[in-house]
Amino acid sequence: MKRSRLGISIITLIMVMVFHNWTAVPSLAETDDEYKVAAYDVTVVLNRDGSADVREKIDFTFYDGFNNIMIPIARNEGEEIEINHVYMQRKDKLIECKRLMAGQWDAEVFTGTYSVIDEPDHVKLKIYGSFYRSFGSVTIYYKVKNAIRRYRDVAEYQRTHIPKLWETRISSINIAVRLPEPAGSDEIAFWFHGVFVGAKELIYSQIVNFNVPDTVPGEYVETRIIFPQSQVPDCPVTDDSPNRSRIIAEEMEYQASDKADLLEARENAARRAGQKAYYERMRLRARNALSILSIILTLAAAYYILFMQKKLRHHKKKPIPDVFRDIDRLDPAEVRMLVANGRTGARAMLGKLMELTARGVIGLGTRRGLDNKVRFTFVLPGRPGNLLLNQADSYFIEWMTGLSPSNHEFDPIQLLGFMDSEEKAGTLKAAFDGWVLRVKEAYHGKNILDGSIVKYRNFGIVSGVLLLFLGLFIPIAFSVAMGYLILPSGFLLLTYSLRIRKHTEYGTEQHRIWKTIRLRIRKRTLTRDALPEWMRSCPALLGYGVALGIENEIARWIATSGQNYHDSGDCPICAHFQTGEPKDHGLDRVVKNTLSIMDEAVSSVQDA
Amino acid sequence: MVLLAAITAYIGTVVLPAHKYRTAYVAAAVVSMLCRYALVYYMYKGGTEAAGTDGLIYHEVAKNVAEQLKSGTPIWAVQYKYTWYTVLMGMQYAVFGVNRYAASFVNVFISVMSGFVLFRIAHALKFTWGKSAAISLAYIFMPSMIVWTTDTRKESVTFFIILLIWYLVQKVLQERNGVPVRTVIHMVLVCILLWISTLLRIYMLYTLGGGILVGLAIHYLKTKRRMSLIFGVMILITCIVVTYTTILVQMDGYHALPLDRSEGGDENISDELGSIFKIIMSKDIPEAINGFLTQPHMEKVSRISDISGNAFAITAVKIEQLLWYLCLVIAIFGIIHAILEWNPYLLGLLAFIVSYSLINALICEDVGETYYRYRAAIVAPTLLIADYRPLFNSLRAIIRGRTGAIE
Repeated sequence: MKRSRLGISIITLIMVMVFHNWTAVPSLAETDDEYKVAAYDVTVVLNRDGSADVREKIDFTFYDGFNNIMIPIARNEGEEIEINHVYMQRKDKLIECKRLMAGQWDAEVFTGTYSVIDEPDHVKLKIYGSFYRSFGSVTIYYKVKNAIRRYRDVAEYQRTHIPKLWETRISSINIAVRLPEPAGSDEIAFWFHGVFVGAKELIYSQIVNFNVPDTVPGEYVETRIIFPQSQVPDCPVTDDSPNRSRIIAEEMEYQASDKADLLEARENAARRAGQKAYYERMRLRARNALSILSIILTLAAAYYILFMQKKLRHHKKKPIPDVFRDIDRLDPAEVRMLVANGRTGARAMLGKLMELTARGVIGLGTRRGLDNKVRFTFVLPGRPGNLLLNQADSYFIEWMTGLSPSNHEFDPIQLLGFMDSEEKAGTLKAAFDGWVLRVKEAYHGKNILDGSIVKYRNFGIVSGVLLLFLGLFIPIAFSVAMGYLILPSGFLLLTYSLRIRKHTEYGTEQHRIWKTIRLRIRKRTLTRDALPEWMRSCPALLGYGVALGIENEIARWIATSGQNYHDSGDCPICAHFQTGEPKDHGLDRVVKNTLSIMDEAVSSVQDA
Repeated sequence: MVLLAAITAYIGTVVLPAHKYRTAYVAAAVVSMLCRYALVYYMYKGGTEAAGTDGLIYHEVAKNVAEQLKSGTPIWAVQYKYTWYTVLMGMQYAVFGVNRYAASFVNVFISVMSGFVLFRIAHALKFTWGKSAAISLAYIFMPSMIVWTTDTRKESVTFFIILLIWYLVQKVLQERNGVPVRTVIHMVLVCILLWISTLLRIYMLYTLGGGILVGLAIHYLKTKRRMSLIFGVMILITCIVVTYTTILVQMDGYHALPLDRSEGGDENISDELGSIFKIIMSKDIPEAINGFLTQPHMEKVSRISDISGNAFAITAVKIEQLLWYLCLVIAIFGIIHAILEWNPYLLGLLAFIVSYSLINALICEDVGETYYRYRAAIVAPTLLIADYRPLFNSLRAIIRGRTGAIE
């Protein structure tokens, strides 16, 4: 129950964070304008047949990524719109876009294509390309047939050039409508609708210019021009009655209207701009706060490690003794873990076998392989239960016995038999891990953590995992680069807490002692008398030498000085090497051969 | 269509380990095929010569490839554009006739096979049968996966090859009997598939090759098996050879790189590399990583042009996104455990995910839809890592005073 509760609590916490991150925060950061139109230039040439040739040049500024943009073109009743050319800017030059077939299912197409979507009131032009965080420009050429309505007295051009469909701010709108022929200013009248602010003028008696500084979503720009109907002789007559007065009346009515919708659009835009600025500020603050939090968490992790270190080593470092006779008795496997940063492997195993040999628990033998290499073998006791062994040792002996139930002899080459299948490898790995676990527990019994240290360690483990989590979560979810700083500090805190025994006063001291022993043996500045009694015999010395990684030095040491210590011939190693078959092979070679076989087998199953 | 479904059912019963729910699993896989078949008919309702974009373009190129093959051009001399997938399609068209439906059905079949391979990988990682089935079913029923692997796009084959490579790598790593012929064949196959994956997506060589090399390096350090070294050298040689024979040759015209998407691409490789470097330098890297892993964000899902206005599709994508975020969050714990446990295979996969994500985050267009599609390649490997329980169990054991494996 407790397990499931913990799991559920953590998952709930995670879910809350996920929801917070991906639903709440992005909405804070959300902008209504992920792009803007920086400039919108429209040039219209009215033709004598009542059609209009339109060129629209639209300059965009993108704040987000898009792979297409949609440009709406309004269509009045009876009009036909024919897209002639579409160009887009790419690498400082314009490229002409190709039109895609209708009914395209997917928008993920290559740059330089467009599709046309026909709808009742407008035509949507969808242009595909890479539009992100940059300036982009699109130019469209199209023809509007039946763009002009011809009456008895005037011709009317009325067109929405900036439809309400635009959902963003459009700046710098310039619309120039060129009439078919020049005319007197009293013959032409023009208006624009959909915005409050704008300017209009007639130039060269033929071109009507409309300039609107900007529009916001909800606004639009509609132009309306009346001019002499004689200028469009080829245009069919829409209504053979005078319409000028009606149009002027309509315009007066429009001017007098309250334009509440436009006012509301402006208010909404102002509100959204305010919100956007607020959200941007909040977003920036959130990122800054998270950056600061990341630094604080990193420093806190470093401080916590130092704090734990201080708690663990409240005494001053003791000087390393000249002689090591009274040091605590550690197993070769424990020594191996101490000097190899927690790793064990074949060295720990061989070291243990040698140490058991030294204690007389098992016997030593040698065997020549098919490759003519000599290796050690070990004679196992018949009834290990009668011997004084700790839990790890008993497990080890039982395991070794299990490997060779028939003749009570463990030959390292038997281990190689476990390498050829996943199942056997799994068996060996499980047995090895079981032994290592017991060795660790035995060491933990010596290197005891007191209650307060256990609390610090547990807090360190939980905090380390949390920091690692945040170190991946903060930078990815909130795009805060500083968040990556938390990763190494979290990892350091977690590994430090997991291996806290290495840093205890006992652990540090043992580590120093055994490293010094290794160094002094290498430098040949240590005599056997300086070692504890349980380490002086040749097998024990060899066992610890293997664990410390100095088996060659130890083998030479034994070879040169062994006889002085074991004249009686009760040392199994010396006895073997003085009289036995391996005499010609050298102790170091035999150790190397044995270790190599065991290492191959033990390493090989580590992934089982 | 029916034949492919029948073959799928048969393969499912043969390759999947026996279990009381195996039949149900295979039935679910066939249902996922039916969903895809339905989507194929929906997509092509307006005709196969007009629907789709990348898929349509590949279809057009494949028709041309088929004509070349029919006229006697050998496969290695065929002229093709965009991706080698068009050659595969062209081969199919040359043998069975031009039929985009059939090409889509083959993609459907391959995508379900990917699910089976994913199942085998998960099972070989010692996941329970149920967990392996859940991972692979999640993969084959993922809405985006259904969409990306149904049209005549290269995604189906690409994902299959990625999973097949990792499956073969796993087989090699698990081989304990020296280097038998079977393992040599697996290793050679991986090298060939690396080359094919490069033909499909140009940077796959480095992401996959890098991931495999990381896995092999850790595997060697952990197990000292010589086979890891031999395999590593083979991968390294493949990477070097393919770089010179394929990547540098194809880079100039590769359509998916950001500044080379039209005929007016960069003039030469140094220009191309310069362009890519410029793009990378212009990016806000944390935001790009965020974009690749999390886009399209919730509020932007409805703006995906393909599904805008389609409430069902929007909801499906939103749910998928939420589940993906949850998967990412859980994967963090899986990553921590893989690192502490020093698991060669999972760390190799992780290296692949990281390198693939980084490359795409840095050179991809900063567009949610694009990220969404490109990210699909790392969904399956991420599903394999996404499990918080191993880490929590180990840590709980340590905190409760028991000696843990990761201590």
